[in-house]
Amino acid sequence: MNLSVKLRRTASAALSLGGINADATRPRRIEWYDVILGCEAPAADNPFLYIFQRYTAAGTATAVAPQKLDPADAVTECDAAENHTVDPTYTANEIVLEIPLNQRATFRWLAVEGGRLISPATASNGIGISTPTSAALAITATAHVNER
Amino acid sequence: MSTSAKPITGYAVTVDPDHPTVERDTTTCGHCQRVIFCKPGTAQTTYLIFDRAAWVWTEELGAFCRVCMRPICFACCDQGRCLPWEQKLERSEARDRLRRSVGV
Repeated sequence: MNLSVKLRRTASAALSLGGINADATRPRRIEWYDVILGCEAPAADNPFLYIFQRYTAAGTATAVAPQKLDPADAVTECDAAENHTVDPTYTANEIVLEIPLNQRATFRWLAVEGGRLISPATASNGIGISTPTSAALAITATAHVNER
Repeated sequence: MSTSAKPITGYAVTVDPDHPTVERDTTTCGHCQRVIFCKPGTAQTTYLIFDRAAWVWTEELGAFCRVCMRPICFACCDQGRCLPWEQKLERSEARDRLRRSVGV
């Protein structure tokens, strides 16, 4: 099923914006196919670096309910969270997407079948978004994922 | 490993009110799924790599695995072996199923 997840926080160089991972007891594969990144603050020049990286444990964060794009779909199993206070356990060097972005800019990435970012149906494994270069401003990531 | 034409599997766009809109084709690494930005007009044989230290995009000749016949990123190219991402996912899931079955 296709899901939409909006992740938001005041950007931190040390803590993640958010992440989406397989459920700990009923894991499913998650395919990322559409990502939109941006900053909500008034226009100004600040550099942001968004890093998408695989993780094996979800950390501590505020839970976000993934929204079903088709209301008739069954209940989702995947877990999403934002505004981490304890970062996920990122896998070293497993960076899958790296985006430098000015505060004024908006970025979108879409992928067709075969080019999507897939996280395994393994308990609490997923992909998180961190901002190692950032200003303390509200940032948002909207991700469309497919759970299967 | 060598260079060759590669399939385009993604599209990225950056909209900045003060600069022209930037559009890029992307492909993904066949070994780790890293999204690779491709230089336009090069038949995807040239990658655009972001240099964090200098905060600029640099052009690099791309890499291709002739075992799985897919484009790969430079980190996977340096490893010199073929392990497609599908196999990595299956291994991860198999380990998880084993842990569950033994109650760990």
